[in-house]
Amino acid sequence: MNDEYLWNKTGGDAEIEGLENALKAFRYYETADPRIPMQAVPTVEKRTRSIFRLRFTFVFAATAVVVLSGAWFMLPAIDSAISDRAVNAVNEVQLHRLPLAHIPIIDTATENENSQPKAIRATVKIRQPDQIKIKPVRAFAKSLPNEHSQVKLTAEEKYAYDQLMLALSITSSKLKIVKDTVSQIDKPNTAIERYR
Amino acid sequence: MLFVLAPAMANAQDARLHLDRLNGLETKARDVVEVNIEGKMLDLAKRVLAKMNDQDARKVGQAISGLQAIYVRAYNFENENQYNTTDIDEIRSQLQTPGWEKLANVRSKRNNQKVDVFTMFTGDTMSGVAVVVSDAKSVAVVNVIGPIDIDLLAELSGKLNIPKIDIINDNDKSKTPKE
Repeated sequence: MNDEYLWNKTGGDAEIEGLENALKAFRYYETADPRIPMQAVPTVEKRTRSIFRLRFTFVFAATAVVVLSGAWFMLPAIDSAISDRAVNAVNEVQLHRLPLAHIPIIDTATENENSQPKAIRATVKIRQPDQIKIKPVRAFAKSLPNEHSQVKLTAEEKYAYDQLMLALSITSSKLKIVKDTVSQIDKPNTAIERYR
Repeated sequence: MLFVLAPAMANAQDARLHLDRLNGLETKARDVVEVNIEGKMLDLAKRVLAKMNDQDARKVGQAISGLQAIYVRAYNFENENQYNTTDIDEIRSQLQTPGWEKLANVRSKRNNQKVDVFTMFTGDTMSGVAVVVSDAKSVAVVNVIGPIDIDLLAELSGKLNIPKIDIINDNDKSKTPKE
């Protein structure tokens, strides 16, 4: 082995040159990009995220405190609002004569989680039948059934029934006219009496 | 049995008016209602009434329980005096025969309104009713064979899920004449 070639690259050594040629592919070039250690990036990121979380938690806590304290003072107003909504729902059912199933169940527990017993009282208000006065709904249900439609009729029966009802309706209207006219005549000084 | 029922049945048939004379009015009238209900069809209708749970239906069922037939003719005309009055007078003349008893008779010069109600009795049982109403623009004849509760039927006017049919609307105005 030629030491001059090994340290100063002067002269020549076939053995070293052969090794150089074999390892040529792994040679270092200065133009290649410097490699950054992989572990440096996560440590920086971790630090920023924890700061953000801390700030967010602080803001959230402050907001929660403000909202909850506000809700505590506004509780009577919410209670009355729920009561109004309940009364409106019942009124709507009565106005449009909807079946009772259409009354929405207002769950106060989901609406204000921090509400106190007053809100629960609103729920009780909705379900007390004495206070919501559902009598008109019941009256409507009574008047709904159509007796004619309840009875199952054959085509012949329906025709016969319709014919009889038509005949009777004309007869009854004529008889009513006669009855009214006669009753007017019986009264003294009626308009018909004057015409006569 | 037949000997007992025969006169009553004969009288019941006598209560039927001959309404053929009115057939000619169909072509002239704007609205025509012609109903003939008797025999099996009447029985069928009575059975339907009996099936119903309605209070008014029950009342009607009672009122017509003995009914044997009902014939209705009603005509509305577009203009006044579109029909021949002799046609309706011929119907009225049938009511002058023995057996018919006058129940009500109203004459008004306004609209030339004439209202006649006649009944026929077999013993104490009513065997027929005839109602003839006419004015300048309408004619209506109702002939009922068999007993019927007149007052109850008059009360039920406009009920029983039937549209209230008032053939002679103009008469309503005449019932309340101007001062």
